[in-house]
Amino acid sequence: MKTVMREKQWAEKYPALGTGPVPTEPYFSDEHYALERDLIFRRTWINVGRVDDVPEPGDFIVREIAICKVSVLVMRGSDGVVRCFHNVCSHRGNTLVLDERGSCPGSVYCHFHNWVYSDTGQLIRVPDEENFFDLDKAEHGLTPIKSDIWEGFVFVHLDPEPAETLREYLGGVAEQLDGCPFHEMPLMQTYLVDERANWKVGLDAQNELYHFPFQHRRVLGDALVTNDKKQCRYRDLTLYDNHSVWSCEFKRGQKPTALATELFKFDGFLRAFTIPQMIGEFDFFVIFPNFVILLYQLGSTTSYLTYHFWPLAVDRTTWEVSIYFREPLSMRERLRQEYFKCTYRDTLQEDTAMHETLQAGLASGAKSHVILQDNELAIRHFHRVLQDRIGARRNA
Amino acid sequence: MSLVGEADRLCAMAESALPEAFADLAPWLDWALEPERARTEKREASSMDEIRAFYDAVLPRLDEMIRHLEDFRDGDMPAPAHRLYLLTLSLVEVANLVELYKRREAVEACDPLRYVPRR
Repeated sequence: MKTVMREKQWAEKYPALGTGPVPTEPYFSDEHYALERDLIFRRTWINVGRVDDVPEPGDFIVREIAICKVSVLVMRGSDGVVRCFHNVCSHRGNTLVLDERGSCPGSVYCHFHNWVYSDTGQLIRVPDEENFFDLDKAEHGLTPIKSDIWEGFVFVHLDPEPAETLREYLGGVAEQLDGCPFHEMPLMQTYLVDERANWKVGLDAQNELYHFPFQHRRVLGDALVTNDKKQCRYRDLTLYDNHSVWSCEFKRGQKPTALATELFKFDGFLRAFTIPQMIGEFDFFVIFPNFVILLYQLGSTTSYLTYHFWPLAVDRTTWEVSIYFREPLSMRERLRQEYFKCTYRDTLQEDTAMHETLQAGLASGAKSHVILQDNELAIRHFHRVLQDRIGARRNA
Repeated sequence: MSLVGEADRLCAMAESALPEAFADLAPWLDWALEPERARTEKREASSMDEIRAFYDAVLPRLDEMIRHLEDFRDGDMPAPAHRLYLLTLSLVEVANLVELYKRREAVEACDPLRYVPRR
């Protein structure tokens, strides 16, 4: 075990963050929500999926950045390149693609007047074109959205001229995870849950270990390494310019349930799958503002999850949870994955209930500040980044 | 009886619902559901007694079921084996209620049907 149990060690590592209370107002203020829209979501790299979501030419997905009212069409062209566009027709501004995913090799068309675009975004056909006035099709392709790809993750930036490249923005996270074989772990399932909570309530609730032995005591309560008072500790914590990662370790020698006993029997199929980029056994990367990559290693198998917290309103959020696994080698491994998936899902349903009771309490205004301990330092860092970025852009 | 109807009847007789070695699990075929959403809905519509009875009937056979299913790769599973596979997935779906929560509702959790699988 590499976890050090000493109290208050992480605030010592990052003394500039301080230890004081953090204001609650950003969780429920309409004014703050507007600032986040204009100064964060419109001016930050936002992940909208993976290149594997559009594997073949003509494949597309549509992702809504609802806080900015932007619908992003992610499409792989016949040239193999993944591009992002505003999902809006050039003619009268209609929403172009209505399906959340699909494939239209070669072209997409608007349902209003059948304007047709190539899968690289060029306007290629206009019915009754002769009846328009000086219409130059070359000037009326789909409106591109600035995008870039890192390790298969597709990011967009709603400012056509971002102040920083994706690589600069990701900084230390990219350095830590460069080469991580995400592409060897295909998507198994995505869940979408609409929560009556501010997007930061869910993110902050996830971004700490303190709650595990309490809130998740029935399912995961005893899964992580704890001290003699049954309290979790970070194994590591790294705070980057914009992002953060904390890690912890799983406890050994747990008594498996009857189902787990069957599912973990040795079945003759064994292929260790470990990822050298990992820090601990459960690495929780928060990629500012709303994206999480959670890598975990159980025994000899590594998998990951992603979270997206999509603000819909100051007190409403779509929480998108995606669960990835390597291709199973055997039926027993396939069922192990199903078991992890169901257990995660059941656990997160406890979280959703908590996010909503949190929002109710915060929005009451009873408490002007929240109080954070040493195992909640990543939350403090997140709020510092949020306020610094809002402040810098307001003053610019 | 029409010829088509007779053909259907003969086909149904030729193809039993589950692989022969698992014919005794036929009473649980209403748990052979897909996709995942249908299994969750079945779980939510069942009493704890029904869930426990299903769990108690299937868990002791799980190792044997897995060994049987290892012979098939994804996509080439005959219908009876596929139904058997769906029973194993339903077992996984309900197991936490029996083994961890030990009661019908996942305590202090939101309505499970609010978690909507994409597509």
